[in-house]
Amino acid sequence: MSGFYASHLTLIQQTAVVAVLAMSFQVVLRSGVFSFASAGFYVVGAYALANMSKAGWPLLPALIVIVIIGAAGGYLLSIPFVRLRGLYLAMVTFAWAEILVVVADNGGSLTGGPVGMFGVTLGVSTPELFVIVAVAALLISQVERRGLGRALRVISIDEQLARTMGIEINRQRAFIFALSSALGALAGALNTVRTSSVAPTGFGYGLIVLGLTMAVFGGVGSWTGAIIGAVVVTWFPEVFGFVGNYRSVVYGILLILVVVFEPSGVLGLIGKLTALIRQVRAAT
Amino acid sequence: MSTLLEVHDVRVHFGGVKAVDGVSMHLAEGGLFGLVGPNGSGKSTLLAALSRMTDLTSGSLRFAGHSYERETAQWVSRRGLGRTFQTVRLLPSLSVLENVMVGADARLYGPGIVSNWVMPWRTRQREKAGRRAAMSAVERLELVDLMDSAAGALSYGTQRRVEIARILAAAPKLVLFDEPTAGMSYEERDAIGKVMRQLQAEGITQVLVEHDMQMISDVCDHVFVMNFGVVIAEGDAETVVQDSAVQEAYLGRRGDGDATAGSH
Amino acid sequence: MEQLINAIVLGAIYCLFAMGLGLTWGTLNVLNLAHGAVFMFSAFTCYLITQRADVHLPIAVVLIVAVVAGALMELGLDLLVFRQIKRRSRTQGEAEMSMLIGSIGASAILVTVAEQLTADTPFTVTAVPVKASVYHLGSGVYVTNVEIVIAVVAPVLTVGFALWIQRSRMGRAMRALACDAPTSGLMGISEGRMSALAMAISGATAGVAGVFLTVYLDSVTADSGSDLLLRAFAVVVLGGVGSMWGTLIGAFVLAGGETLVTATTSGIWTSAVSFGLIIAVLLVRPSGLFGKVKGVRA
Repeated sequence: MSGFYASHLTLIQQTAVVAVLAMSFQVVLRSGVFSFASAGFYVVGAYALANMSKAGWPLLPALIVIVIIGAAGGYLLSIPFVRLRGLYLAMVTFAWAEILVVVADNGGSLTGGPVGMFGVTLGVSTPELFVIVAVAALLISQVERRGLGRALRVISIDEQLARTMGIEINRQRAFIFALSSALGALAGALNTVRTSSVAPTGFGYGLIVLGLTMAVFGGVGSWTGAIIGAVVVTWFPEVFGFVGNYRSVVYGILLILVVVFEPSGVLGLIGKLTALIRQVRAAT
Repeated sequence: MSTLLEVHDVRVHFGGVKAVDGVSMHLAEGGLFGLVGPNGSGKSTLLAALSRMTDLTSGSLRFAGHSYERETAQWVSRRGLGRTFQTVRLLPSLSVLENVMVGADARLYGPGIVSNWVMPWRTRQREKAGRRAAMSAVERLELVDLMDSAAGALSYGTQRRVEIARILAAAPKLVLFDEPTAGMSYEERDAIGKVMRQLQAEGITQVLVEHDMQMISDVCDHVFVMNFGVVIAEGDAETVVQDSAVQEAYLGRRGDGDATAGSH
Repeated sequence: MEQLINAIVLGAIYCLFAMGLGLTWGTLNVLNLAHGAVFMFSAFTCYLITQRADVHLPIAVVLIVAVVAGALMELGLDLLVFRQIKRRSRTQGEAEMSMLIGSIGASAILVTVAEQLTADTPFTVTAVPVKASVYHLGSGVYVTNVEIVIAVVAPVLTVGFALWIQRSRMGRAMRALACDAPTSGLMGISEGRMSALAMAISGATAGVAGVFLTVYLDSVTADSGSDLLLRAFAVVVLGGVGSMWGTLIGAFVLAGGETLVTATTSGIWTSAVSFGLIIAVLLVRPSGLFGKVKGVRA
């Protein structure tokens, strides 16, 4: 077992980092908020950490500050964005994610331009990564339970009903938007720490495809779906090595298949299976 | 008996269409009021205005002493004004109990979010209270056996009952029923009528919008008849039915005996 | 002055491209994020034919190839993805989100294939550059025939389609569909045929835009699609969803703004103009210049 662990350390760490990205997508999609803004805040977090590392910050304070920046930034963005209906919000947050790539490319010494920044001295151990992911998952799980969880579900299904049930729609949406942005920033920062570098490749649109694939495939109903998606998407190129650079083609196909046949993802399938088993048991 | 809901000269105009054009009513606490009128008379728009789903063009509303024509639907729902809709609006993938708990949430949870999120001990109490309220509503509407079933899988009549349970779980002061028995069988309709009378006995004020005149006269103390956005008659059921203006409004409708349950 | 010509040409391309996006959005409630990828892949198809397969075609034929490729791609997207989703979704909201995600998936496929096959380097639609005749307009201003063609054809197509949507029977049918699909169905409007038509037109315009832009800029890359999509968003936000005239004006305003920014910042912040416009419009007048309020706010 430890042999497996040692030889796959990079992948394991990668899974942990993208899991946070997946959660940032899952948490908004579950509530019917079509925000891709976390992909933009990923960029913010990634470069913020690189710069903080250069300035000598220790890891935990840096991460905490980055999460706060992500949340505050998300909240600010939500002011003009929160009332936007689904598709419109998707479009606008897509633009936000793309714009930050442009900023990254032209950021001069702050971002290292198209080349990026190397030699980030801050590091993180794998157990530390797992703890961070677990804490994030815990926080998200709280958003899925009890009254808050129900309220967010109502908003995603029937907004008018939500109003007559005393649910403050805009506030809830702003909250979930800020939460998602904070998670995106955290994911970006963790990735910089993991790879000890940051560069504009793979940001923006590519990041959105990755995040969506994980969240949608795993199932946006719960944070567990995000974890499932992260594991599958990260390990799949391992198992199907021949795919190589055409990974994104597979992601695209996966996205289409899931969204057509089982929009609730793996979690949805599992749910249906357990219901079926229950029915069979009850009948016999 | 005090007035729970004061409606004063409410008008709701959509561009050129005067859906509600000067309606005033005083609803005493504990009353069971009927609101009838032909299609297009403005009943649904009035309900929308009362529940603040639509903005008023002019006029004022007072609920339990508070002016609320400028408040949001959320505001008035948290203060105890509940409503049902013409079409069933449940969350099909959630269980019956969970759907009813959404109603309880309306009363138990304030607008604050972050506090609910980071203080799980607070929400634990609320969850327990909500579950209790939901359970008692579920029992009342005889839904206990179906408590854990997915709401989407149930029959239409049963879904209607879940909706009513949801309203009850919020312990409302006033409930607006928008054609709640459309599509129900006679037995189901009678059962709903019984529930309404029970609620009245507990002091809950109710407004029933219905096409079924039989149910109206069985259940309501006081009836308002609307047409063309105004109230054309009011009084107890028998008086109102014999009013000439009312008969004219319903010209062509069949007699009381075989009143049909709505044309929707 | 040269800048003005540049702005006009770019604006023309933007409005043609944005119109396709606005068409499917306004009539089918689909935000087709693959529109950018289709634009790029239409040009890429021409590249494959004229350079990989070594079939030399005059530019006019290349244009036709792109139109057909674009139309087929978006039609395929409709038949294989959007329609399947609509058939199986329970609610409108779920369908919208699923179609959006599906379109992202489709674009990932197209972009990755093009990226790998071109090794992520720029490509052109014709093997030899298009012969450009230059016309002198006086006081040192030159304009090429390419620029003239684009600046004339693109807006004409856009306005033509806009008028068609507004005046023709089929156009009215499409708009009826957008308002109320079930009732339209009852009135004999076939949702299937209308959506196929809308997507085909949208794809065709993407194809035209693909050839135009590639010729104008000399080449494009596999990720040019998402850049253009960003512009289209700004155009749609500025002009207002559902307004063809808004799209026209918005496109030229954007192109003008970009040209200005390029001139003053040497091109670094050009892409940011789109986003800046979007934010500004959303803060000041969310429905855009001519937009209908429906479809924007919750």
